[in-house]
Amino acid sequence: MRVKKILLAGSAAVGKTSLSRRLKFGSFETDYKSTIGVQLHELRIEMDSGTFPMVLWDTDGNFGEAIFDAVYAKGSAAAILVCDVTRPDTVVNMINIAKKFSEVFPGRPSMCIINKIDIAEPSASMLEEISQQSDHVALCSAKEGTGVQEAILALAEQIAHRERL
Amino acid sequence: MNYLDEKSLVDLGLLGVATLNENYQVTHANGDLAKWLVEGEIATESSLALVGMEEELESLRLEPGKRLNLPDLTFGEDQQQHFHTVNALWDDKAERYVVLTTMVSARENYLVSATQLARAKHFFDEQLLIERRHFKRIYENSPQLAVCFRENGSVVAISDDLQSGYMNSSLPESSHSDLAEGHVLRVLAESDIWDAVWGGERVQSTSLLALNSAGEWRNLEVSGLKAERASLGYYEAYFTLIDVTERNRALNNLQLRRTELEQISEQLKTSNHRFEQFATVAAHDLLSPLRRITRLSQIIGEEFKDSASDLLRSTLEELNKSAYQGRKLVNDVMELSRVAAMSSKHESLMPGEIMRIVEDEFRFDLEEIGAVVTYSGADVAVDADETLLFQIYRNLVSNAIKYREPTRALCLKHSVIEDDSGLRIEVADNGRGFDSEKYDVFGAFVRLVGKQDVQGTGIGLAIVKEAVDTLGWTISADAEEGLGATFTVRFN
Repeated sequence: MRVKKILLAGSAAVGKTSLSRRLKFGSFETDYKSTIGVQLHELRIEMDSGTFPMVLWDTDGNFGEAIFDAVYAKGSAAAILVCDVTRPDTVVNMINIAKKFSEVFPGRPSMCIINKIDIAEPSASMLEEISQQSDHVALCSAKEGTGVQEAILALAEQIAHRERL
Repeated sequence: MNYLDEKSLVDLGLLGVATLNENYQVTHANGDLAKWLVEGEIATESSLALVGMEEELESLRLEPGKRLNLPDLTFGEDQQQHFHTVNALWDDKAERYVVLTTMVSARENYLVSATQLARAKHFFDEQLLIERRHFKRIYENSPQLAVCFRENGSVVAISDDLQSGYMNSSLPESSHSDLAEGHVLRVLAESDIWDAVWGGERVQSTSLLALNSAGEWRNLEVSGLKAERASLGYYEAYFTLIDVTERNRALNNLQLRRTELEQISEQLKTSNHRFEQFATVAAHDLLSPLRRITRLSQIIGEEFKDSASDLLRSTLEELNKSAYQGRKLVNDVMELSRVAAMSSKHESLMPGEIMRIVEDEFRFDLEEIGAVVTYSGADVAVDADETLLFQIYRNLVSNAIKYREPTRALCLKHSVIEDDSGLRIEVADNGRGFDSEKYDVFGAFVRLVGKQDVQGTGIGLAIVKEAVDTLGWTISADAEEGLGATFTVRFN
């Protein structure tokens, strides 16, 4: 399969870099260092149908929706959008970015990740609000590794499914 | 690209030059890029960055000379934010894409520090935007010039922004750079750097001063080397000139601001320390005579145990009460200053659970007055300091007990509410209430008119406010005279 570009976006400090490190190295670092600009990681997702190569664009959370005006979002095959379960403002921001992504790249899959579920559980209203915008919602903890692999596999399946159509 | 060979570009400070095939696989690379290259793999910095950029790459083919610029990229597995800029252009003659990757560490220091500074100043967004613009300007202007000279001083080739070259000895008419090239090259040719390079020395990071087209003095970072054109039998010298004026200025400003902040922090530490010393001494000096008054009144009471008049007895009782009240006041003031000086430790805590523990602490008081405590809303975790959270609940509960309405049983309601306005916690009682328009109940020593029969120092809610402030939250009170009060804590 051809290599695909995946946009990783969301508010600052929701755990985007932790998620990408969890995916790339299977580890978690407690030191927080904000990403400036964008960090690129190559991932190889093993699926039943073979290896799926991806380039993950771990972007600076301070871009917000302006990410779509920068070159960083260009040519994304799919997006992983992240929020922090303990910070409602990051949920709103994630929903807005998801909306914008579906406007700019209609039909391309996106996955909304509610991160930090090791600290708190999402409320029913939060889940409902996110589900209204996105068909794909995952509950993850980058710290403990919960749900991260499952989320990226589900997204890879979506991309592969779209390719076959 | 055809005027300087690839080796020279690397010698001039570029990370490397790579060529890719249409599947982003690298077919050739040199310089540092070659170290990471695995033949046929896509995992090089440049090729990773180009994935998904099909349209942009196609437009390079259609418009020769156009360049795709991807700034602010970070790579690597060491979490270090080394900044790269990836440039791609289409080489029409060789029918290939040429990808240039540059890395400049100074940029990291600059932007990371700017971000931290902005955070400290609480105007993050605005500041960051300014810094980004500022930074873009610095970066767009560097590296600016690569020049190749013959020994007689004539220019063999010159590139502006390493984008397009000139194969003749005349200078370009216009340029994207704001450096007045003619002047710059003359300054360079008259400098010691020139002689050193032609003398065979590899010169790097030497500062050169030159005027730009607006007549301003600019600091230039120069690197140069001499190379033999073996096939032609003569020597050439290659130079890069980078305008580092803005970078230096920004770094100097940062240094100045850092020094200022350090000084302020030092002053605050000193004054805090003095205040703490004063508070400890004052409390000690006040507590001793109060304890003495209590002790002396006890001696008088014992001495006149059998013969004391009613007046003496009631006077001694009043004296004791006043001394006790005074001691409590001093202790509360000490507590307030302790909360204010506390640096909070953050951990994930459930406020409802803390409230239940506090309810248990006050169990005897609550049972004695027949109070009912109820809970609503699902408890959620908040980032808080345990000691401070206990301070908040203890004072709110103790206040509700103190200021209850004696004609009815106290009802205390703890609610966790999450809606559009965010997460909040309410502690409501049906006590005496107060006119919340009239009183700032969170001020120290605020005691409400008409509540003089209630024991208290007027510091409880000030402690609550200090604790809430320390945690970075907000608290408000909504109350009505005779009907009760609701205290709302919001987590920002």
